[in-house]
Amino acid sequence: MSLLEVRDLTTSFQTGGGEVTAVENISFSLEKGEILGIVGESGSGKSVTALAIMGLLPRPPARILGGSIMFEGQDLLRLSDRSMQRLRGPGIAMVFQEPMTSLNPVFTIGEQIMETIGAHESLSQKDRFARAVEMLEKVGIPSATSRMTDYPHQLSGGQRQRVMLAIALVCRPKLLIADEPTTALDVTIQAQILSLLMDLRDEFGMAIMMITHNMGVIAETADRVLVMYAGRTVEQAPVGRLFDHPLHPYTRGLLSCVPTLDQDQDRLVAIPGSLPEPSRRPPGCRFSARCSYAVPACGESIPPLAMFEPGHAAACIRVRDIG
Amino acid sequence: MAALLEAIGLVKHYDVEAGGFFRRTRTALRAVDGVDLTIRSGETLGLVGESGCGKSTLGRLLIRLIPATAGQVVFDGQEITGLSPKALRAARRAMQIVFQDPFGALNPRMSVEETIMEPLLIHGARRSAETRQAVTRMLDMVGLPDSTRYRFPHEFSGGQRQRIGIARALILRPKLVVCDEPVSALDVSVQAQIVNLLSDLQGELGLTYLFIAHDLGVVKHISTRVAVMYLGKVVEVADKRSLYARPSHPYTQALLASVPVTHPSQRKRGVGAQPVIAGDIPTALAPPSGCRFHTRCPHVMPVCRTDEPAMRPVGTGHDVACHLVAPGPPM
Amino acid sequence: MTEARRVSPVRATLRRLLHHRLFVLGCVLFGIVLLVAILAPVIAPLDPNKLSMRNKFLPPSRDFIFGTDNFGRSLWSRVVWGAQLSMFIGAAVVAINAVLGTLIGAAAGYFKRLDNGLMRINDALMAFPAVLLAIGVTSVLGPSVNDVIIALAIVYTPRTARIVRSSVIVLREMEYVQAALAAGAGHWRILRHHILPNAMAPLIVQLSFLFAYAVLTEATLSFLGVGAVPPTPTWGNIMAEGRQYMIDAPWIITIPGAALMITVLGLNLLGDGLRDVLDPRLRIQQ
Repeated sequence: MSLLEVRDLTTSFQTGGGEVTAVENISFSLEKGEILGIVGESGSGKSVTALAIMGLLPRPPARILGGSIMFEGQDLLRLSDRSMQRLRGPGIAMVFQEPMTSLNPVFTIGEQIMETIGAHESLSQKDRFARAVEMLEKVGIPSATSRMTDYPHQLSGGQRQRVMLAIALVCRPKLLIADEPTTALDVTIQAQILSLLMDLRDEFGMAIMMITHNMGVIAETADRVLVMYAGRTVEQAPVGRLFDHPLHPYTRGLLSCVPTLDQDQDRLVAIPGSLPEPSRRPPGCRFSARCSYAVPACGESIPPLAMFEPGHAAACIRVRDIG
Repeated sequence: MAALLEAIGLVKHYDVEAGGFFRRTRTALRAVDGVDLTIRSGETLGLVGESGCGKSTLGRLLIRLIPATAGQVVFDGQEITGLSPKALRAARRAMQIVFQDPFGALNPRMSVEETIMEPLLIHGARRSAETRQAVTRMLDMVGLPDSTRYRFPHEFSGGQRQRIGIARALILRPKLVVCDEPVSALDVSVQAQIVNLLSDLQGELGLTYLFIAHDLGVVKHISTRVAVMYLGKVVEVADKRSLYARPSHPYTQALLASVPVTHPSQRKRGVGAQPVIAGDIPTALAPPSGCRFHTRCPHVMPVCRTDEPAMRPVGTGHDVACHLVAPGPPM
Repeated sequence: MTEARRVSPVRATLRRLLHHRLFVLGCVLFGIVLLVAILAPVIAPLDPNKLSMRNKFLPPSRDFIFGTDNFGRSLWSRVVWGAQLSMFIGAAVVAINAVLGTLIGAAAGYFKRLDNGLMRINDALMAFPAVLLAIGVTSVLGPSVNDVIIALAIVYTPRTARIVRSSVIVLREMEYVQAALAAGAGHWRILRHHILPNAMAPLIVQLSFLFAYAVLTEATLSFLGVGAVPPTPTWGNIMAEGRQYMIDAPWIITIPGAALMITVLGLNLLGDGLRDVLDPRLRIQQ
């Protein structure tokens, strides 16, 4: 049994212009200790998927239209609020992009970590303090005991993200959802945090859902990758295969449009157009309007996710033609 | 190539008040702390560094969008730091800026036409068939259909807004354009379009760019030369090839090594592998003594803590401020 | 592109306002009061100050639909003309406020050098309770309609200035303002084209609430006897006179009270609606 098994998840949002779907028929699974990278740009539905798993989608305006989210054999969509709350922390934890707004400015970081412990375990004040200090040391905060009494504004951005990790991991979750954990950080700090995440994965054996728009972060961390576009999965593959043989034109575009340090090119290979707004998605394949391989059939129906190699699936009717 | 812009000893300090009710202390935030920089006519000078290093402030100082605390900027043979407000407004025609945030950079109550036309009106043109024609040409140049001219910013995507911002910056036919992180707020699939557009326009109009960014890949792609900033100082300047092939400052080396790999097979990390550089960026309110990088530098020596290294050439057009490449205090 | 997308921000805002039910209700309530005020000479031809001792304390009837007061004056005429006076005072205070508040707020917010001086004067004025300050001003100037307007303008302008100032401070740092500066624009152009038009939304919201405060405070002043002198037909005056006969002739105090309530409720609903639609911080992102 997989640790997490998402089946045909479909959610929608009520907007001023009516109800629009945020994600459609998303399916994936995550094994113990595995890192699944979820790649997508704005409006791809990657964060909505994460919030749905956490049970944190604001309802309304959001609505879950169908599917199931099985975590260790129980369907999270059927859990009561109370049971879901108990699961957050020891079961599933999450770190967000913006470490400043994710920490409460009026409590010390020590209080915030200890509060999380207290919510799930009955430990004495002293034991909670010791656990918090131990966790801060694990995430690489120097002189942790004295930092316990610091307020969030006294920490740098990188340190705040470390504290967020400490809060997320203090109950030893089995699954960590990391939503763009390094996007707000500088590149040298990003390297530190990614390296820390990998070490913590090895130490705790937790699974990680690494949500990002950055293919570099995927290349550094992921075991398997799910590529999302405009609310649907367009490709799913083991990380090596995805980078060696991307099948979907969108994945190919993403990999080639970002200039890298180890290549020189006169012009970047750009993907034309822009991301469709949820209410104005084209019929059929949602990438068809921007795709250089598109044929009329692409606009007729949404291509199903089809398996081309073991573990490598893509939702494109032209995969065989474009080689 | 001749210098289009030359900055000498440029400094920008902000007064920051801190402390309690009775004892207020004024500290200087040293955003830019003594920068010499040359931008050559027709080139793209990339300016990289992490947040808080002062790269955006430097960009705004160079076109005198904000006044400098000290130092000089000579633009096209004219000293612009001491210009009268009137002379400065005239000089601004030749220096324009493209911003990072495509949402904040356009006035939500002005149509595309009004936005692009405004610089012409500021410089004395009248709303006429001629100015409308100029807007048409700019829209065409940045790849927006002419029918968009009566629309308002909220109707456009981030990439399209950035095109409008570029059209506004170029309608006065400037010589120098400061591009302040022009693609970092855009979706990755749209970034390449804007980078290509900027390259095309540079060729077409003979523009000179100062390209500020934190993405080393984009900077490598678009720049002729690259300057690296750390805590208010330029620590290394070189031709693009030289800088990326032989980074000489330990900070530049660390920056390049921190960039994520492009293929999973290049992963360096195993269990216990250390990140390339430890520690956080110190605050610009109290920068470290001597070389500002010494608190994080893996090669730190005693002299680094006391003496500030001067810029020294390590190759043709490749200058570095580091005691490693020029041991001993500056002469 | 569909037709619906080719709309200016102003048209889009109007459309959203018309879909806001409470805003529309507020407009209807306030619109009724406004219409009554404008049509006063037509719908209430009877002189509101005409005494008729024969007719005093008549309850509402066919001849006097709101009844009469202790001097036999038609309460309908008095309340309708009172509406006109309330609307006039409210509108005048709002107009003076809009101009002065914008000038002071924009000057303080845009020119950092003026900020400290202007805002400290503002703070000093705001430290007084509104009604007390208004009483103080009218007792110096004397109780007449014009003086009430001046008093209310002095009381409420600091609040408006504060709101304008805080929007201007935010807008001054917007990149489109920087872009205009980089293109060589002067202060006047930047204020007129880039800052003030974008500062209007919170100002308009504030002014709609201010209208309600002005009407309410004016009524308070006349009720306390420091507003427009009797027999000027203001709602406050009518209520003050009716207070003594609350048991025997309750209509004298309740009818102007209801009029006041309808006006203030209408304005508040209208203001809430404007705030929901105009204030982007409260708007749900699409």
